[in-house]
Amino acid sequence: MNNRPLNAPQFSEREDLTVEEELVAYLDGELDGAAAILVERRISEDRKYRQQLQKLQHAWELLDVLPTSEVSEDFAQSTVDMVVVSAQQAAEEAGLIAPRKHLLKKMLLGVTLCLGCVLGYLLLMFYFESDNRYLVQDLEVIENMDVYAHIGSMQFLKALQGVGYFSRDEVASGRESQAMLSVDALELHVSQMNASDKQQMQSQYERFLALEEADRQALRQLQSQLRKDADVAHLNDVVERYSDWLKVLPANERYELLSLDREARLERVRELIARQEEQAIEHAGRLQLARADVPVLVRWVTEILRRDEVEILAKLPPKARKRFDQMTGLEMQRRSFLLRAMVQADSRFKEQDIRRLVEKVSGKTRLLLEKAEKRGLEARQKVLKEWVLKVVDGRQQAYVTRLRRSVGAKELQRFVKEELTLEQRRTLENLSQDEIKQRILRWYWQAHGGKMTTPLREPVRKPRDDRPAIIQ
Amino acid sequence: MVTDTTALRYAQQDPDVRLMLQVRDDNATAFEELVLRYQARLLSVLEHAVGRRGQAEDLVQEVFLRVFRARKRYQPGAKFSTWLFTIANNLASNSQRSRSRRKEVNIASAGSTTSLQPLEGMAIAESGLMPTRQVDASERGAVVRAAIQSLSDRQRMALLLCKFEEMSYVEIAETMELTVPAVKSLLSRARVNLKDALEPYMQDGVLPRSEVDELGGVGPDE
Repeated sequence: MNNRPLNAPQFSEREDLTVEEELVAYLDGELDGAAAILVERRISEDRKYRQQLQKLQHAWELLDVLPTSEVSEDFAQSTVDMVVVSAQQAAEEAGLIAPRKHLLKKMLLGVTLCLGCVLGYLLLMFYFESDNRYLVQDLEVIENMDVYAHIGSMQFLKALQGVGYFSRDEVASGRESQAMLSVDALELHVSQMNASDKQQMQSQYERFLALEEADRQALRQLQSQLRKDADVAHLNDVVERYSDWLKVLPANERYELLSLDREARLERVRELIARQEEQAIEHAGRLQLARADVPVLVRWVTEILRRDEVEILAKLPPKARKRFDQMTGLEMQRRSFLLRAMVQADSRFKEQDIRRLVEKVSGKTRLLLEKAEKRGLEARQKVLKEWVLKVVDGRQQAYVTRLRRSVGAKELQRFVKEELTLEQRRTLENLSQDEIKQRILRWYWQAHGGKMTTPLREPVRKPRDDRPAIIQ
Repeated sequence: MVTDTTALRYAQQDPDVRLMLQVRDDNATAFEELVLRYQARLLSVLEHAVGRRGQAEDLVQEVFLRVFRARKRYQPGAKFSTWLFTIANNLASNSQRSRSRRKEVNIASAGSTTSLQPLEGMAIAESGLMPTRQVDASERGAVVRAAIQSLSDRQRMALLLCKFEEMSYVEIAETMELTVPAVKSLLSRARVNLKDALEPYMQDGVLPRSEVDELGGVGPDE
């Protein structure tokens, strides 16, 4: 095709467009009014030009047959989980957080210091220049007024500490003394604050002043009791973690929770945490295992299969045992069958088995198992069961692919032409392309299993003398 | 360098920019909302760009991971979608480059020299019961996918952003870090190549070669 416009130098003079660029820009609505009019005039006069446009347009319209991708329901959650875990892992690897929440603690401490500085600045302004001396006493209260309002009383705070989820054994020190910085230090930090932080603190202060006196008193009382408590560092940590937890709660649940009285609220907190942990375990099971962990998991589960094989076979229901015995010459199928039976019937993953696996997997996988550990052995068994089933499915799929590759298209076509029955052909009519391919392979497999003309690339290892043929 | 005025303008105009600013402030719900809003759009473009569903899903997750990691440095200098698809484009390009280095061969583009009749076609045609219309619809989808895969990586991405995301040339230029004239030229070549690849099918219903190979079911494993 000629790369210059056929007879329209006016286009090329202005933008130096080729005919194709001109037509494509026209179709995409990217030409200005005058240029578009010229193109339209030429379309009406020049048959060849018009045909070029029509072909381009037709090809473009054919793209409409491409479907937009559907996303499974759990994809978003799995993405968010993956992102959180990876970000955490990356931070750990970079030595940014050790222990895990150290960076967060530092950041919070930093923010706290900064806020303290702003308040210090306000303090200076008001303490020396006005009558707002009470601001000094209310420094921490103003800073934490939202979360203090959510907690309400020391009894509730101590009860929250008892929930366990919000308390840790080790707590970074320093937070309890944040309000004891010298006036000079506050002044220095304030001078380094940006306008946005100052504005934020100002609005917080105004909100505090807008409260009823009784509410202000209640907040002051809570803060005062907190500072006097011997366990102030741990309690401050609970305040912080509870505040973080509330922030990520869906708005409706947060609203509902905060409208409950103390006892009911505590009960609801427990329920919500239990549900979140349950969901976290389910999501962990659905997450894709890191590629490097797949062979580790396979080796691990194969060892357990070897150990418990006799028992697993003995426990198979008669029907399943009969099916298993009929799978002669299909090692992969036999092994997958037993693995499924093993993880589905009852979990054989014992505490020491899991500990052995944890030592070998990547940090990301270890983190997921550690998360599940809080919910006990059963939760970890559940996650591992999901992973093993996923791996078994994946390996079966890979086996089918290898089978397909080794059989070859010619042989499959011969099979379709010479061996498919009319009934089988009719069955294919309702299937998608992928399903048709799978189904034909399965029939081929059934018809020729164990006597295939071309061996698989990955040879099946011979079983040890004292083991059935299922173990590689 | 993004000026405060530019950042403010985008924050006012684009609700997704406002969400991203909340993500910058560690709002987990805002991040989840962005994932929900964009996952299917990203997956559609990336699935057609790389030609494999599994790889596209990995890339979508990687895009969101990059977004999350970059949150603290985020300054609105463009529409959020433009910024997001810039990341997606870079990741897809890197992925395609490393794939070609590994000499992987896609089943769809495997160079079989046989002129075999498509397996499914054979099986069904001989039953004599499959409605022609259904075969046509499925066949057309496969033909168009194969035609898209025949484009260069950059042409394919420009085309997908134009078609699926309905991006203007300026937005595509920002996303792919090109000039607007370069985008014009790229899209023009993409659409001409697409037309050329589809022309035999549009005229006579003849399948492109790569499509014959795909349906024939031969080709190296992934």
